[in-house]
Amino acid sequence: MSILIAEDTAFQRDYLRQLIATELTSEHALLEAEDGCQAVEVCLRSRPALIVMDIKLPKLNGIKAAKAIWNEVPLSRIVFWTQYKDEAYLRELGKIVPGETVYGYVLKNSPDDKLTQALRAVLLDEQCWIDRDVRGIQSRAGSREAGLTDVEYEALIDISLGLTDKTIARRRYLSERGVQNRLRELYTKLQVDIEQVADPKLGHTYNPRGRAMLMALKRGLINADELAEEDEKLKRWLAVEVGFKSKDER
Amino acid sequence: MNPAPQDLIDGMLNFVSLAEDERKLLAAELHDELLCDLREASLMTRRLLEDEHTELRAETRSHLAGIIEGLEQAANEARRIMENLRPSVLDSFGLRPALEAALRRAAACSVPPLLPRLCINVTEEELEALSEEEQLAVYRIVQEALTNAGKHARARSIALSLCKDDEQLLVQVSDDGSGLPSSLVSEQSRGMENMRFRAQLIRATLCWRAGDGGAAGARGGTVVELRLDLKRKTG
Repeated sequence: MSILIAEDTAFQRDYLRQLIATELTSEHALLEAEDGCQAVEVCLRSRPALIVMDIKLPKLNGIKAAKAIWNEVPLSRIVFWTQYKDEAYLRELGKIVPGETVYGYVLKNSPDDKLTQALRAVLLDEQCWIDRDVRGIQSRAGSREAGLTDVEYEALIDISLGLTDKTIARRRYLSERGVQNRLRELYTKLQVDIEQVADPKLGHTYNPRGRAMLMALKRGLINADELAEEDEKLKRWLAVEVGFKSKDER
Repeated sequence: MNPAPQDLIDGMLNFVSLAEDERKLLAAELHDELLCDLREASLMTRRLLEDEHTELRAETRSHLAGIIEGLEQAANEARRIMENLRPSVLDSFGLRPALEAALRRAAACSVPPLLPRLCINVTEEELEALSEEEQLAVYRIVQEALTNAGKHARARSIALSLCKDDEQLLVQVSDDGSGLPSSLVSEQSRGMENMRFRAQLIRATLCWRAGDGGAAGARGGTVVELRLDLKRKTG
């Protein structure tokens, strides 16, 4: 297995190589590409387990390279490592990332441990990892005390509002796989999985979404007022989103 | 206004594309040089702060943390200027995402924030069929129109609509403010002049009119309308 570093400055390639070797893994061979075309070539030939992709690349930019790679190998896991901070990047990436894979997005100015976290999440935990500096991530002190991360709390809100996986993916710029994996983490933390009773005739007795809400209510992680407020936020988001949804359906 | 002769248009187009190339170069330098250096400085300061072998006084620690914060602010500012010089979203994703991003930025940046409305009834293929000059001109004109809309008094929402009308691309930027106040007209005249100039170069028509509550569901307000042939005739 290998990891591909697609980055045009030698200095930053060295930085990544060193960080990956010391903080992530020494088992993977490290491959390098200096432009987008090379990145696509190497990916199709070597099928790396992870790709760290700069966006501003010569010949073919990192987004177009990612599109070409995902076209051929939809399971490719890509962590974008970039100076671009506009939320539009997440919005558009969320639309082109294949549902069955996960991806990451980290700003280049981030401290080492943030980049390490992102690489680990995508490579080892199969989770989407999105820099909170690029999009505001909701957080709530109470949920953190209960052991939920901010993104898990966000997932809890989303299922409490009755959103489907697809809609959560669009709203939070994730892939569907990313949503499912995040929900699985949430169910584990809320102990929905431990409670699950399997019956030979009925199969699983609980729908985990509804059950997770009950557990969260019991622990005071959500309440009616809060959800009403969240519902308003959701409506505002939908108001803007509906504009291009009708276009997508054309 | 009489249409400008073709050789004059060509000359001006050439001039504008040189200016855009220059901006692109500047943006690339900000990205490759300044942002790189800021990142370096920030990493080094962090390492100093996190080094277990160096004993630092509390005061020094807080100074270092302040430096990191300052560097981050400088990087954000450099990113903003970079995006202004050359819309990277346009290069990375294309015209529709770039326009959408400009709309959302303008809505979020005005005080108080405006509600953005987006209505797109042309395909991405149709938009991508426009030449690079046309795409950039449409983007710059819309960007300026959005900035102006944000300044209109009492606007609550801002709308961007793209549709096909008789083989033409019709781009409308509308707000539901109190129209163009005379004081702003003079202040904006340079921006408006720029927009007209850019429109002329791509043989598009541009006009301002009072809103009719159409695209934006607005109650008055101002509409900026740009029309551009989708099927370009050669020569």
